Amino acid sequence: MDARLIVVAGIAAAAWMQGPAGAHNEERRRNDFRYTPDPAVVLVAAGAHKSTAADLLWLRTLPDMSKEFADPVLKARWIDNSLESITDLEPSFMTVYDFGQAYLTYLDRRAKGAADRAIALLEKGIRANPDSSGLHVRLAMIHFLEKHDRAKTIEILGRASVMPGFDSLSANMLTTLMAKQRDDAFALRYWVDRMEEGTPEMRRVATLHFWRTKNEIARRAAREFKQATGHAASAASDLNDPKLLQPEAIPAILDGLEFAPDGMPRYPKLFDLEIADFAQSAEAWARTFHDSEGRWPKLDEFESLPAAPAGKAWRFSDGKMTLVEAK
Amino acid sequence: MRDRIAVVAKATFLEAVRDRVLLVSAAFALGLMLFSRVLGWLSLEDTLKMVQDFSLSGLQVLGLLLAMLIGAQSLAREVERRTIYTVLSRDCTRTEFVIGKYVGLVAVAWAVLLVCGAFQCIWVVIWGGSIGGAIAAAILGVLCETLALMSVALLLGALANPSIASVGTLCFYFAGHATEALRDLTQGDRGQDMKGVFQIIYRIVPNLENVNFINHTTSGRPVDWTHLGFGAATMVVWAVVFLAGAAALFRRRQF
Amino acid sequence: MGAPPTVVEVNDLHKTFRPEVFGKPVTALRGVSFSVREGECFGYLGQNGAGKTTTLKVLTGLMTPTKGTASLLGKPSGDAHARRDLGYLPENPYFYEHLTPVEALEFYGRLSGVSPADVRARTPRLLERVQIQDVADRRIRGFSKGMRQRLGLAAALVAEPPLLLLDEPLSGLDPHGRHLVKEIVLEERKAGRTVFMCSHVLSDVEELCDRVVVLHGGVVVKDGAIHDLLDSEPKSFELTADRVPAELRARIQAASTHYRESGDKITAHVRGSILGPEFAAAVQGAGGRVLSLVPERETLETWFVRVTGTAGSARMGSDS
Repeated sequence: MDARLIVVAGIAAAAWMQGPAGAHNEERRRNDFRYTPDPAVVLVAAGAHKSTAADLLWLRTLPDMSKEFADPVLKARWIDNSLESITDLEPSFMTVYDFGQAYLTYLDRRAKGAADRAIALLEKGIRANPDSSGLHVRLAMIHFLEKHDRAKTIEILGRASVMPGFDSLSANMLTTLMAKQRDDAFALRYWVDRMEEGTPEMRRVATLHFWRTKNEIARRAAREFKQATGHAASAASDLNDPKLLQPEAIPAILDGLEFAPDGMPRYPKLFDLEIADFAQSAEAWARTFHDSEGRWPKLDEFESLPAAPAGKAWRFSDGKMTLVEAK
Repeated sequence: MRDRIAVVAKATFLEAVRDRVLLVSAAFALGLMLFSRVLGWLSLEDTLKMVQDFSLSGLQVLGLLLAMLIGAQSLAREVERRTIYTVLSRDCTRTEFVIGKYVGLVAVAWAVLLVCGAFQCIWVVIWGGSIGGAIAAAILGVLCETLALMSVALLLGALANPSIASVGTLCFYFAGHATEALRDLTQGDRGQDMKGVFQIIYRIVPNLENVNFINHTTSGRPVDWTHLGFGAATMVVWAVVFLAGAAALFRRRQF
Repeated sequence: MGAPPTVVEVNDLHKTFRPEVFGKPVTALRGVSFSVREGECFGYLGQNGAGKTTTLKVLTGLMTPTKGTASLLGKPSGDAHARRDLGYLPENPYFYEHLTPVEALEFYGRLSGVSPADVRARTPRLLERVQIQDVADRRIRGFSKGMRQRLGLAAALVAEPPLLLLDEPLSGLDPHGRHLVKEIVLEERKAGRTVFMCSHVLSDVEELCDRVVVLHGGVVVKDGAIHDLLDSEPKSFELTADRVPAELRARIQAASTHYRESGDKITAHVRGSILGPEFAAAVQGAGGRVLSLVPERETLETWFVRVTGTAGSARMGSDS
């Protein structure tokens, strides 16, 4: 018999048989059982390829995070074991901490102790990567959002604030929380320090946050002034009161402070900084748009274009966003 | 003596470099490297990490394959194919022959590993990575590991037939990478009854993890060059030990 | 003028192979002694399993003897430097398959201590001498047995050693190759080199060697010059003649072991050393014509069978 015929027939027969065999496998897997050996055994068995073993296990785990299991207990056990093994194999695998905590606090938040499991995972990550500001921020967020523990949040963000890569949004959160706790001087000093270091762009962002923090604190003081006196503050000197503001922060808060006709405090400097910040972001987005579309966007194509001040209008031309006199 | 070692080394290099097994092994490593991109897609966010991890793992497995397929078989094949008759009947001692074989085998393994390593560096750059100290340390670590693996392969090749020598090399590779994890296991509350045994094993089995810097490439941890240097020195010491053993065994062989 | 110096000295050589785990030890050599003098072409003969290869392995340092000594050019054979002056051609030589003949000769030459320049200079000449110059840059992998044998001979000669150890140098060769190798052996001998040759082809040994040692069952059973070992008296004659009278024809036919007539011509084999010349003289005396009278002596082959057969019986006798 022709050997080629046997090969072709064999392939055809095997391909046909693999259909029913695959269906049988599906049936077998219906109970969603996943086996992970003891993390200690995984660590020994992975040998030289711990990092690669972590990758493989992660690739196996990732799709299951968004999959519905018939038995949620089995799923929790599988995911927990996997996360444990992966982070044992590669303690610096940041994506695993990121996705793991996100999975536990969002996708699996109804499960018992999800927040505590997320905290345990992130604390393990921080032990292995003590300089990771990202892990600190995520841990702080869980304490803030899930545990409503403001003191713990401030403590963790405070530790993270001196680490490289601590982002300005988290810093803003920290200073806002500090201001809410009436630690005005700390909040302002934090941004003053940042304004003196880093790249020009980092200093620009720090300057913006410094003024935003001032605005936040001034608004709090104005609200408290109105509660105490029954009328709105109308001048900066109205807030010159140690009961309203932390004494060492008063000069900085009152510097450049004006009041709107409705009695709300405002800083013209902050307005200018916000406009410049928006223009910069808008121009960056417009450049991306230009690169992909081959043309500059029209003004109405910009998303969330803030209202221009009275008598002014936005104008976008040749990649530049400016405020011009309204026609 | 140096001349004769160089002559044996050169012939071993030429013989091995033209062997098809070498191409197949390198193709495996490069195939794994290309496949790493597919895994990168699956990983959503960690394309570069997958590319680096799988490429470097492939490189390390390539080092192992070369030791198993070329190193462990080398001496046994010389005897089996009787090429040894024409070599040892010359002005060449058996020790010179074993050292020459080792030098030639390490040279060919390093050449292949460096070529594949260069391809991997290009591959990593293509997918957005940069070539820095970490990846250089990982590749250097694989080269150092090859020193020990090749000497063990020769020792086992002088002792047993090619299949057993290859399997023995594989076992050595696994043991060399597991002793540290086993020892660490007993530092917690587990395996206390085996603590002493694992400590002894850790001391007497070469710890190949000393030159395993693959994890450093993606972890962002700075490379401790002193550690790598010390690890490399350890590998050299072990290689000398195994090579001396291989030469002693080979001297006793009757052909 | 004294006797030429001894080049190979084997003294009371014993070799017993011990099994790795179970089984009986096997004795391959039982007190072998012989010596080879400079300039000799020496034949080392024996049946399969007689111990020839074991002796060669001891001489080339591939094996250590259980007892006794072997030396090459005055140095113990186990000493690698003793082998610097040795050119060894093993039976069915094997080479690194991926090398070319040029690379192989460089390898063997350098291993024997020849300088790179000398190896480069000698290689083309040697390849031409063994007539494989056309495949000088092809990998050995595709070579026939005969080509390998020729390359093996070139490798043995590359260091221009004073002593050549050739194990079955003519095996696997076609008639042309056999002739070529014989020529080379004779040339080397003429150049004053000592040739130690093992061969199963006894006619080759008879043709090339001055002296032989016969090994049987691990023991030397004969050692001597070929012309001393073989009977010099002819054993028989082959007479070819024509125009022989009928009466004389009948006499010759009656005394022959084989007799053939073809027309006027007769061919007869007569035993002994006397009858042949007598009949030739009678033919000439009777007016006939002697076309040829060829004496037939004992060959090495028949001698070898005779000697090893006897020795074999003796050995078996002594064993029992």
